[in-house]
Amino acid sequence: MSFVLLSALLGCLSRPALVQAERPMSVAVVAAIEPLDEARVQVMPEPVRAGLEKVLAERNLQPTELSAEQWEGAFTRGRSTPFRVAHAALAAQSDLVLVVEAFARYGSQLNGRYRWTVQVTATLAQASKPEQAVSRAFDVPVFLLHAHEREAEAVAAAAPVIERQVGHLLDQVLGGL
Amino acid sequence: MDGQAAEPRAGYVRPMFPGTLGLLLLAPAWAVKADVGGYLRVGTRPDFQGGDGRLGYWNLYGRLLNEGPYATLDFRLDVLEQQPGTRLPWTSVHLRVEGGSIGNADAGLGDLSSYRLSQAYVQAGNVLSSDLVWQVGTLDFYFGDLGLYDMRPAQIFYETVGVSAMLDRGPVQLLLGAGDSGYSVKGSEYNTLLTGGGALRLRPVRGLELGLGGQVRYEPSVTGNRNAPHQTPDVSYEDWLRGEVVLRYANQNPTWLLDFPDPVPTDAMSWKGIGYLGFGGFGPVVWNNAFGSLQRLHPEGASSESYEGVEYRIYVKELTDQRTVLLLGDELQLSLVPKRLDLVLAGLYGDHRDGDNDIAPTDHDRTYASGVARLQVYTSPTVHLLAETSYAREKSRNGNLYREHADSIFANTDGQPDTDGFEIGDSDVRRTWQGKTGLVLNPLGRGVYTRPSLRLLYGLQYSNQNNAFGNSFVESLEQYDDFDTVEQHWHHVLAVEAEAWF
Repeated sequence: MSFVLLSALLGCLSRPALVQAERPMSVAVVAAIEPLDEARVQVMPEPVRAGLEKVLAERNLQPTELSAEQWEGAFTRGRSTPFRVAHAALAAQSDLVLVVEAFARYGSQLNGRYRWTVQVTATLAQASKPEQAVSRAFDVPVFLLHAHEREAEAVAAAAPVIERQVGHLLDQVLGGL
Repeated sequence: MDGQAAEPRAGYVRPMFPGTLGLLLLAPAWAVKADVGGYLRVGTRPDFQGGDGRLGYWNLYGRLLNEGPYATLDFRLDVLEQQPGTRLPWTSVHLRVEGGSIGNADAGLGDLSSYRLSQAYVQAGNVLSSDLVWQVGTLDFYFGDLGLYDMRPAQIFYETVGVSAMLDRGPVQLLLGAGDSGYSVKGSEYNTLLTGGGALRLRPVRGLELGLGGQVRYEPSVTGNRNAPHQTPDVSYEDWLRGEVVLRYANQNPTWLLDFPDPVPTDAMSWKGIGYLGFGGFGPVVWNNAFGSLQRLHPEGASSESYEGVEYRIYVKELTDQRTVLLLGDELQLSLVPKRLDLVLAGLYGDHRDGDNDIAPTDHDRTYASGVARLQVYTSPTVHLLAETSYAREKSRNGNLYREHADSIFANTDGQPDTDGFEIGDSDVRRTWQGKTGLVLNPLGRGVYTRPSLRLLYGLQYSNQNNAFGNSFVESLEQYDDFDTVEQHWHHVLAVEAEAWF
């Protein structure tokens, strides 16, 4: 019983307040996976997109996901981040643009897990000034339980860290807007 | 790479390691990238009953509280990095250092002699053919893991150094490999152990996987090589077990000891077949892994006996070439109440047989079966409650192997002490129940296997075997012993521990 009470109490501890945008701002979001062995860029799995939506909403931002048709072809052709941010800014009718790109590489079997490394680049820009974009690049090691879990599952498993890193990026940029 | 120094990404490790590894990692930062991962299990388990901090003897009762500290460092150096959307050649160097000791957490005190460079290999992809990955070095491969047991029944090439090719195309994954397992199997008494095999994994539909594989090891006869397989003629199994082969020969041939038979060269073979079935992704079933393996163990080389100050080597290939191991395991992961309650069920069955041995209880002649269930309740994304229980039954085929009582010598078969026998203890069965519960903090969120985990646990064991855990109790009944024997069947352990993959 004491374990239950203790865990319930620990679970209810409050978090510090987050940085907020001074006014509600719209954000166009693109979250793309670049498969290692396929040319075509794909949409990130739902857990990552839902997490991005959450961190944006928590900061008084109004996320809108660009449909895949609006960016898949261009992102497949143009592989540089500045090009992709500029393309998303043109396609969006929003105050800000957030582009998150990731690719996952399998490493090895490690103590019963499948070790993957997810390389992520998150970029935030004002839609009117895509050339002034701010980027954050980071790697996320993830450990999958099963062999059938591949790139999409690896990126999904990285969702908590991606959320955290994108949150930091937002906090940095929101302070300067 | 364009030759310019690139800004390292967050998470990349700067080269800071001494020795050969350091030299390797000190390669120019713009040409290669180093990546370090690993595994850590560390904690303390105060034991007020004289134990060494582990609840029971081994993982058959579930890995939780039955394993000691462990650390692994896994280095990967991308000499040519894989590029998304391309089929350009890539290559990487992998090194793994691991061991079961951590400073102040066990008797080894983290001494580096407890660690070894267990894996080292180079991989290359998109060379000769796309979808093909070449590997030269150590070749360890397994279909998957029984997480609750920390066991890999379907594993091949664990001992092998050589070359392999892995084709990974759509629903087909095919591995073929060949090499030498001599050093791992025979150690300092090395002899070439040619090893070949492969594994095929198929994913016919989403949510279903099948796997089959195996390996064969062949140790050729080499005349004159004392480490090659031989058999000393006319050795009885019982004499060898008692260490009385030379004594017996001397009794029968008192004036011909110099003519003790020379070993006869022969060859030796061993093999292993593995199978796997995985399915899941429907209803509450997250995934189910079923593994199986059947193997014939490789025969032993030589043992030595001393008689009247002279050392004799007894070659026992034919006394140890009938040992088989059947291992079956299953693990089912269930999400009973999404984001609130998960359950993992696992079972393991082992059957070890030694066709050469009908007289002595050993680990090569036994069966065991076990079941483990773990419940995890999520009171919040990061704070969880854990409860686990297990039951196991181990049975020796050749008589008593376990001591139920401190004075078991008086309770042997038929109540008779067997001072010249091979039996140990007073029971051929060991039954073990364990229960574990506690608080888990998972910073990365929900999931039975989400790590890192910081755990505060209590464990309880009942075994019919006396003192069924690592201990330093006196076991003899010598009347002049300074310490008395102790009889106890319940064992309690408290644990504060952390486990992480990183």
